[in-house]
Amino acid sequence: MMKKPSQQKLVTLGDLEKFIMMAILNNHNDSYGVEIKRDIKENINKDISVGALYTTLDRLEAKGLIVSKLGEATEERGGRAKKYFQVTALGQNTLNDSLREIKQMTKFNLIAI
Amino acid sequence: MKLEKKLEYYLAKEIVRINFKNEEQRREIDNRRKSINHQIIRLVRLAFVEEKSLLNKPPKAAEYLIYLLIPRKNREAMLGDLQEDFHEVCEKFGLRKAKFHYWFQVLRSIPPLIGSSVIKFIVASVTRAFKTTN
Repeated sequence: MMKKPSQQKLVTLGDLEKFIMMAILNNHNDSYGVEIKRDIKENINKDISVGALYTTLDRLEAKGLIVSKLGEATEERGGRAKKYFQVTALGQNTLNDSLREIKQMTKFNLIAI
Repeated sequence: MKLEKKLEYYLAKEIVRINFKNEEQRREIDNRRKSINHQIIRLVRLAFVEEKSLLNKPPKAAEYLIYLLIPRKNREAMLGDLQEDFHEVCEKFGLRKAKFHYWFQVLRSIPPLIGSSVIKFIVASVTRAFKTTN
């Protein structure tokens, strides 16, 4: 179903942004850096660097698609606190729209060449 | 005389039985002691290994390098994530590989961090220039 121009979303998402948001949602919408990284590695075998991860998370937070809060500090982290991320309602809607668009565009059978 | 011999016989039999019982008990106590010692050694070894792995610290130079590039608000979380990763690799593959892994992660993280800073700087400069011209 085509949307009217007034209904179209203003925020666009890159691939990595989508993967990160999906990884957060996979873990009951409450994940920290190591969990996000591990989830992406396990599911699509992409090893992203910590720098790329946090740069993207910053961008998503600036767009208002995710929010963060400080968590507990453990000994194996050298006493440093974890930063937990959650996808906002706007983030979930944007992700849904983005995935729906991909589904609408996919009118062929996926064949490995 | 016959009674005396009989008594002696029973007494000897009883002594053998008691000795046998004592020997059995002694063996059981020995086995228990051995098992407890074994468990203590295992626990001490575990505690030592765990402590040793937690005492291992990531390379200072790499930590300082990434510390300089990370924005302040993400500093704690990012360094913590890197250290958690370091300990995981250290437990699985040893200290040397963990240090290599840490350096590799730090070097891989530099381009996106610099890129993001440069973009922020350009956007801020353009915005400032646009505001001053208006």
